[in-house]
Amino acid sequence: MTEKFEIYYLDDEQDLCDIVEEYGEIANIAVSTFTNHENAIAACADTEPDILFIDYRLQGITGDKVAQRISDAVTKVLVTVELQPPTLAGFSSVLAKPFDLKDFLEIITKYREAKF
Amino acid sequence: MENYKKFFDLSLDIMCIATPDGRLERVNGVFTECLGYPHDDLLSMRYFDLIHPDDLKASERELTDLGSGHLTKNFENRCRHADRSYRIISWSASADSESNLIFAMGREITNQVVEQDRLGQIETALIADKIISETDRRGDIIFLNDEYCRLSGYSREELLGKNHRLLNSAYHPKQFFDDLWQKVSAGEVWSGLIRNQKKNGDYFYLQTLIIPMFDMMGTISSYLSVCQDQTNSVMHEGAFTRTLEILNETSAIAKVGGWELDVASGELTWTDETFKILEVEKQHGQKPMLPEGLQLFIPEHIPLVEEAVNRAMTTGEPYALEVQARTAKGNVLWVYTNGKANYADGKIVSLSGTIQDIQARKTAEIKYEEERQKSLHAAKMVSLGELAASMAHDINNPLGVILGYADLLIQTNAVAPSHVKKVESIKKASARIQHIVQSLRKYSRTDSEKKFENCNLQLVIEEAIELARPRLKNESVEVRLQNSVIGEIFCNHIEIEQVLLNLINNSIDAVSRLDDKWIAIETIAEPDKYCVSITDSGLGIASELQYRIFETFFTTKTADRGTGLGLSIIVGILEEHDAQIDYLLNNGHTCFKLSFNKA
Repeated sequence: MTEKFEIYYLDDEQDLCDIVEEYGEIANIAVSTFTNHENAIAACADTEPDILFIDYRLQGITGDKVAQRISDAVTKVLVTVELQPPTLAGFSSVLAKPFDLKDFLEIITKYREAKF
Repeated sequence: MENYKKFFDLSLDIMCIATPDGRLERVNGVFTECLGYPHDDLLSMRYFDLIHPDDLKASERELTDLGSGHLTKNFENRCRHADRSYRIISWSASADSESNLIFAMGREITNQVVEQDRLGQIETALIADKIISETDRRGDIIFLNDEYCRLSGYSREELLGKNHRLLNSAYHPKQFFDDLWQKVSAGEVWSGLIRNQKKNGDYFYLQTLIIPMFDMMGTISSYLSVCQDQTNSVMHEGAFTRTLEILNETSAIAKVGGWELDVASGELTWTDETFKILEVEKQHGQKPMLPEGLQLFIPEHIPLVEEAVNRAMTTGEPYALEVQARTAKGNVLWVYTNGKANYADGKIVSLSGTIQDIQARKTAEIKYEEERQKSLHAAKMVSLGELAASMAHDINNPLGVILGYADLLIQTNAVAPSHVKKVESIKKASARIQHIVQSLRKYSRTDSEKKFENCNLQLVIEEAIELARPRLKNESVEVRLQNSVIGEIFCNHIEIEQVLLNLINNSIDAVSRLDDKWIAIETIAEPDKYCVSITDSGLGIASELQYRIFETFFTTKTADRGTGLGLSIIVGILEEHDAQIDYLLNNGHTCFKLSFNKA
């Protein structure tokens, strides 16, 4: 794992962010987590990640609105409990909540392999 | 002279010789026999004493005339019998001026006069208020009474000598008069109702008796008509008949029939519409009886009607019911029927009421209620959907945390090997919660547009069982999945899941109070179909209820348990899927069999 492959994870549930971060360390994936969407948008503007996981129901905003404010160059994955999210526009994949960490890893692997 | 004396004594007529001053010189045996006095007594009496006081003057006058040389012919007076009654005697007499004696001969006519008088009275009574006319053999009027003139509006002069056809109203066919003439000309009496026309054009109806009158030779000489005016009753009858016709037509439009029950005999009288509504063939002269009438309702409603009728007969309490009739042809329809008691001398003698076909209204009401139930159900599902959506979010996030940390604990080898299994159990339990939440969300999803797609039937069944699991566990009901077949049907996943869940819930309700509690679900593949049978340990549905279980509102559950879709809505959903539901007995147990077309 020499090439840099960066993951951002946005969810207002702090525990989930902690789990994802810890899993990133175990699986040797560079994961940055955000519980505030403005911070995530700012971080993306600063350094574009390879994948941005966005939870659908955020504090005061929905994931699709956040996605619209992020560059198209960033691959976006919608994390949701919705059976049928109102829109999938701007998202490359969907990860159903609650998710198994291996499903999380599967998505990352898929895009990393596509990149390298 | 001797011979004359013999003739005098042996004569069958009354004979006497009298003086003008009132003495009887000689009387014969018939005289004494007729008046009952001894011969000698008569000769000692003045004959004026024998004459009825009222006839005395006329008799004296007749005697005076005799003295003047006139003859007396058929002069009648009343003479007193020895028993003080009177005998009517018709006299012929002549006076002999030479001897100054009166020679009289009489005949007792008491019986003839009495008979004639009686006949006269009968005739008067018979023709009182009657309209009488007489025609000759050609039909020309030769006599008519005042009443005839008054009724016809013609004067006597206008009618006498005219043919009776003058009054013809052109109402009766030619055959009518041909028959009449044929009968009377054969010497028979004809009777019937004739419509005639008055001078002013109005009609009058005469109940007529035409009597042929014979002459001494036995030949018909004339025809006597004795009539009675029936104009009013015919007019009333006409108006009544028309009213009845209108009433019948109105009844037919409103589909309302009438009935009357004779309490003493149990005999029912129905109007035509009642026969029509109940599809009973009208038999001339035969009336239905109460027990037969009661049989024309469906078995469950017979006691209702019977009780209401009995109460009305005994207490006079009126009733009004909406019940289902089963017609003579076997058709079942909703009817409204009411009844009230009728009294005579304070006693209930009959019941009368109406019966109305309300099938159309009732069907509309049922349809409306069905739609209302459906929309209530839909509204319930929307609320449940909203609740499930927010619950899913609130549960899934903490669930994600549990699942995630459990995952991490295993992946980081942070737990001792002896505890790995426990953490795995935490993961599995979390996954189950996740599945339940997801199933609930799917179940309560109400899409604006129904989505039909190929679905795995077994998966739909398993999801329905999963949703029923808490109740199954609470009620300790065992589920036996048998002969599972993997196959797809084309359906709206959620609706079929709702159907299955409702059938499972019904089964739970049915077996919850039994000792042996189980539900067996079996999937069978047939050439074109997949059949799902849901059998429970219940002992079946009573045969008299089986044909009603798919009706709207029908339930055997108590009000607090009768929730859910109801079998009628299940039938509706299945019809949309071109699928069907049947009730059958499976080894004596309650079983519903669903048949779906293969995808």
